[in-house]
Amino acid sequence: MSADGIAAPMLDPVGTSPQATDPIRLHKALTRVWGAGPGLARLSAVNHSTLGLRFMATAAAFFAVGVALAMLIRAQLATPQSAFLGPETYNQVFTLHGTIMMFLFAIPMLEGLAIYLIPKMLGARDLAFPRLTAFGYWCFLFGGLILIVSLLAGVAPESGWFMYTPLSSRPYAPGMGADVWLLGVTFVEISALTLAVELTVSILKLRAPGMSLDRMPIFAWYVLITAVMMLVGFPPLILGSVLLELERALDLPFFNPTRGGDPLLWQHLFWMFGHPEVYIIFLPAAGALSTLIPAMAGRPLIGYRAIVAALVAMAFLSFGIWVHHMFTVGVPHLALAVFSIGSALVAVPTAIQVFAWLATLAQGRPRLAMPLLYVFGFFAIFVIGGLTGVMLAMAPFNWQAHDTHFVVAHFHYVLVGGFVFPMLAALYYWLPHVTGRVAVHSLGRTAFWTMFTGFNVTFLPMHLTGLLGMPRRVYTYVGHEGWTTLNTISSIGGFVFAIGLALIAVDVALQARFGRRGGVDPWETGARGVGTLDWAMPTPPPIYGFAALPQIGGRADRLDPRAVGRALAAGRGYLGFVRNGWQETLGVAMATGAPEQVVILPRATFLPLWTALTLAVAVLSVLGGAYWLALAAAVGVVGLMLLAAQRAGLEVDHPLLPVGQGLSLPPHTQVDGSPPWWGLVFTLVADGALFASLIFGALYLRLIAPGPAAPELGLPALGWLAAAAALVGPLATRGALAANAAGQWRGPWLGAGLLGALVAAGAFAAMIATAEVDPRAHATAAVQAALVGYGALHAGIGALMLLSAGLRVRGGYVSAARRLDLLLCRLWSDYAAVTGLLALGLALALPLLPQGGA
Amino acid sequence: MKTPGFWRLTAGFGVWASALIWFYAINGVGCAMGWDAQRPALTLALVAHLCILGWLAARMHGDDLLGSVGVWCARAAFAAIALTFAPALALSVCR
Repeated sequence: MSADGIAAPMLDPVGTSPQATDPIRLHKALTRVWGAGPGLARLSAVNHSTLGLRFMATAAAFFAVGVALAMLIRAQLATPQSAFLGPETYNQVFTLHGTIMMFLFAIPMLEGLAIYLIPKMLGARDLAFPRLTAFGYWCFLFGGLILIVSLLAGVAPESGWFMYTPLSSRPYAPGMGADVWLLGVTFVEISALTLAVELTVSILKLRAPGMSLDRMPIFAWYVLITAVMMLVGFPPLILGSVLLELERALDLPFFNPTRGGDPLLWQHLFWMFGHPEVYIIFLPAAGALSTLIPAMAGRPLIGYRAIVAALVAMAFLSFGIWVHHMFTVGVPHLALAVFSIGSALVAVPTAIQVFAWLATLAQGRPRLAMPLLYVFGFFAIFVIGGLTGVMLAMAPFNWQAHDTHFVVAHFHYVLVGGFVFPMLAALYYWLPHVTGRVAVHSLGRTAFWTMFTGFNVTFLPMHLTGLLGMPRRVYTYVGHEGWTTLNTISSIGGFVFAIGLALIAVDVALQARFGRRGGVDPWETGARGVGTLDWAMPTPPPIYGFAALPQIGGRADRLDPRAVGRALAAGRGYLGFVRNGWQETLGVAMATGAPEQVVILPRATFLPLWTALTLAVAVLSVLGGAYWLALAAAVGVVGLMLLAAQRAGLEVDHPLLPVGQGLSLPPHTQVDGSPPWWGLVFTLVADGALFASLIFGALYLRLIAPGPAAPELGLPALGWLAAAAALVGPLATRGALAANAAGQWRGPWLGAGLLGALVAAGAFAAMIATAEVDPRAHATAAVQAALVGYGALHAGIGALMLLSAGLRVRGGYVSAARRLDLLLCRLWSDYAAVTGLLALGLALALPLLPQGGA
Repeated sequence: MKTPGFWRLTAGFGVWASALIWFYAINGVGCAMGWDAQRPALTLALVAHLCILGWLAARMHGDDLLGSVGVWCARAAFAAIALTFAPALALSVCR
């Protein structure tokens, strides 16, 4: 081991491949394996660098649309009684402005940054599931385009970005706008969930050997905790969207108070997502700050462990304060106090980070480069937003300011301060990484001050506008309320703000085109003792990232990137060669970072694009009412996913594979704790969050919601058949695993499991079709149908997984050593059985529970 | 397939989350159903969760990251529960 923490040169490259020890030959060999090809073949890319940049560029394009919509809003409100936009158009504009900024800009931008940086910072060549990254990108693009096109077609949603019922219910929103929102946003949310699984598994499993959790760069901690928050935070909104779409399309009255539903259930489900969402957006941006502030200050981050503890605290607390968005709906004093105190408490872990950053700057020798300018802008704006947040957390003040422009000013200070400014700091910090060029930044400083001034001129007076009583979302005002001058000032500031953003875009383009070459580690982080692995590579980065993977012997945020980069580019480290045309990286033990497997990743493919396109056809067909076409497209999606599953893994058992440094490891297909296993575990975490939200909704509607009494509700005896069939899967998959270990025939077991899953799915579905009470008659009956439907869906997916496993057994992809498919089937069958029985039990028990409003 | 010690990171605030669920359930359902014994139930939930966290914070230790962060989180969660749910002892529960 050398002093820079990098393994000694690998003198004896091993494996069955051509062994390229010359750096140029190695570079060419790796590029051939990892590249997607020219022309249209670029659309088949699954590489994290390409997709991370695509995510960020697409999010930036949507951001530009969002800014343009904001300018329309400010133009309309600049003067009283303006005829610039009519009320319908204004409603569509502000709805899409909020929707775009939250769902099409903030979330994808943070995902893009994480996708681009995480493998590079952790010393991996790619993320764990490259095809999933590509699928996530295409879903995001198509979902976003559906929303944008709806605006151009004049059928955009108009119920506000949080789509409160009954305003978004069919009687009050009869057009397709609400459907566009529900389906488009769900499309984007699916993209976000896939990436949350991707990032969680990648951070926990795909790191450089020796990089234990406490050696990880702090950015990886931020992204890890954010990704887990996404897994738990997004499902309530997905559930809410599905329920609302079912109400709109099939008249199931989940949110209709005349038939036992409750509009407040939507608010609960939305804000169970919506409040953690604020922290989901803020944390990766804060992670960027925690990375670049030490680089600018020239000293390591102060309070690494305290920050990790603060992140854990924020993650939990942010899920416990959603009700502060609902203080005016009639919450008892006790609940007001609990959620009010919780909302104020969350400021403590935020403050821990702010003080750690200030201390790092105070103890270092900061240089006032462009990123730091944005850091100071962040401090000023975010702290103001945080303090007005504490004001709004106090119920008495909240009652006065609720739904006024004070709230609009507050959340713009939080989101622009807590996300846009840090991301601009990150942009200027990592732009030399992406482009390989550094800039003079003379225009950048002008752009910063223009934007900073414009922002404050826009939103600082808006606090007063709100305190003077101006409600949000009104398309005009009379003129004698005392709001005119403040609105005019805000509008002028808004245009200055937009000009500042445009100048930044010009500055970035100039730097990318005309900047001087920056070379490796242009910020000289290594010389200042704060280098991370992302800089230990040429800029712009090669498609494979690292020519060899390093051994980490100390903190991975105190490296010398130039020395490390030279060693790795020469192939000195792990996997410094090409073998069998495989895309290889290393999998490690979660906590210690000890190497444990060779992960062989899939190469470029068009499958993610075709799958997302087919899914888009399904969504558009639902929007257009072409349900048979939608069904056909859904079948197509399933078929493409089965096809993708058939192309994964290895067809034969392999002996231990040499990886360098005298170490040999098994391929991931022969390890039980491989990335796909953990991928399914974290997918089920998200699924469990959705199921918990469904249970919450069922109990809420039955026990708490006011409304008419439910009719006598019974469920057919098919429930017993469904319950019995649901138990077949866990037994059959265990039998298949035992047969597999003993080298016996696995077919009968898989066939039994498949039959059981099909019978369970059919019995669950038949329960809905033959229910004694029409699910459209009362919310309790609708909830029963939703619970049973959940069981049917999971049994059906279990059947598909068992079918896929059977095909793979026949194809030779499963052996005693390669038993991953069977393990995945067992895990899914167990989950489907447990949740199916719980759903069934709750559906049967609901009518026995007292009814709140009856 | 072991997850070495991750529970230590989440244990403290996991108990806080449990307290929140119990409080919300008791208060929400209790008010809808007109329960008379709500305050004793809320007080019991508060004390029980504080006891669990006190026990947890006293038992947890470790110099590694998961251990030390776990201890800090358990202590912070203890304070958070005491502060967040103390109103259950005094405020009107359903009005």
